[in-house]
Amino acid sequence: MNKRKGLLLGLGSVAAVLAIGGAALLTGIGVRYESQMEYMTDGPAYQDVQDLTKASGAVAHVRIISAGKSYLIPFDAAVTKVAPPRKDDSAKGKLGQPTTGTPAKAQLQNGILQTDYTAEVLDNVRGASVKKGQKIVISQIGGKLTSQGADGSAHEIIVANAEHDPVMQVGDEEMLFLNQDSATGKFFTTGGGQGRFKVQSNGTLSAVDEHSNLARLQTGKQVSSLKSLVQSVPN
Amino acid sequence: MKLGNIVQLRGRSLVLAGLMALVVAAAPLAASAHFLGGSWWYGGGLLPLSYQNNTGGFPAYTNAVDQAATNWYFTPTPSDLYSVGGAANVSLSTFSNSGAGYWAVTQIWANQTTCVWIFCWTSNNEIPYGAYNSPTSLGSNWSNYTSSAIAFNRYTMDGLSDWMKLKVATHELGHAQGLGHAYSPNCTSIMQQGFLAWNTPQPHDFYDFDQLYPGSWFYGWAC
Repeated sequence: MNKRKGLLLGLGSVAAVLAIGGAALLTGIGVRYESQMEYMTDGPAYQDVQDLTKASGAVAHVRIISAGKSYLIPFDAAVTKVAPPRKDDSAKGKLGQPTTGTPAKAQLQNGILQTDYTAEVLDNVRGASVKKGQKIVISQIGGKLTSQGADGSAHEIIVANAEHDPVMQVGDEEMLFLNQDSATGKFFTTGGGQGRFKVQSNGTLSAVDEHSNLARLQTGKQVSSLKSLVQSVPN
Repeated sequence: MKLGNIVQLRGRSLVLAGLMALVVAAAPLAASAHFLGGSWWYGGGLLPLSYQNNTGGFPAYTNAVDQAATNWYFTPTPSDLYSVGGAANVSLSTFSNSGAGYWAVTQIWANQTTCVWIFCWTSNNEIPYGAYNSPTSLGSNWSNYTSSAIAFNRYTMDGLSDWMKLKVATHELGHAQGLGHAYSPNCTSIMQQGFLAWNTPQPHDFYDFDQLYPGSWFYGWAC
């Protein structure tokens, strides 16, 4: 009799856990989803430190002190243009009208996520637009978007990073090659991750964009050597 | 040894040397292939992908996109990007961001199945972009690509020539079809970043494409 009671109790417990878990998943109450997004970005590529320096309005050693709320840079209103069908008399063209094997989908995005960071200039390496001790705002593609769940808690968190240019971290020290947006006064890094070098606690550099040859060559070197190299580039 | 035999032997040696030279020449192409991971569903023959060109407000971009799609079509690969007015596999837009140096951004989505204990669900997520030297699966919990989106930053691209706009559009459509960046400066590929001396898909790109979508009757034309 006791064995049967125990068995029933056990089965009941399993059923309850399944029901609560399933309901939580279905309703989203108490469940936090986090999804990662990445923007594959393309732009100018810089060959060496001289090239990167000449393309930058300022170079500074900074500490990231705060991150603002991420916002969306909206796409332009869609004006859809349909190109006429191609004329192709080759064997490829004779295969007939194309039909995709993957169902078509409506566009998922309506803009690009961006975040503004406040940074303190620890050393102005080059350029008159930044000064030691100044607090500057740096814009970067990527960031974090949070939507509310039914219970008011953070429900879905989307973390977006640009390829080879991960979002900046508060507290980090970086040597940045910068340009200034004349419309807003905010700065942004030259070539995304190519213009970012993390400064380690022992004063050595670590490239943020490990696929950039020029960045990789600086990894392990002292920050002072990169500063000297930047300052030696003629105007 | 008869003269005829010597000529025959020399001929064989030349053929052998020629074959070896071909192998050596082809090797860098194979070694510098780059893929994002995953691919579109492909059943052999053509790889038809529809694209919705939403850049109509800015004709220079509209033209660049249509020309880039046509240039991909006329490669010895299964590529078959075709223009549609409604929902599509690949959508293209413009935006203006004065606070970034990028020319363009590409995104790709696929279905990902996640399981916690015995509960599993599928969500449409961006793929974890990789840089692989050979076609690589995203993993058994990922589907083939479901959609892709490309956005051009007018603020940084308006100043570029039409020739460069075509380069950027061709490069981005290469991503949308599953090709990754070609990082080696010695690799002549449209998938290199930055300013290039070419703005159309190159033999290396045909090779990569045919590696990613093999088994078609185009396979082997390139390289």
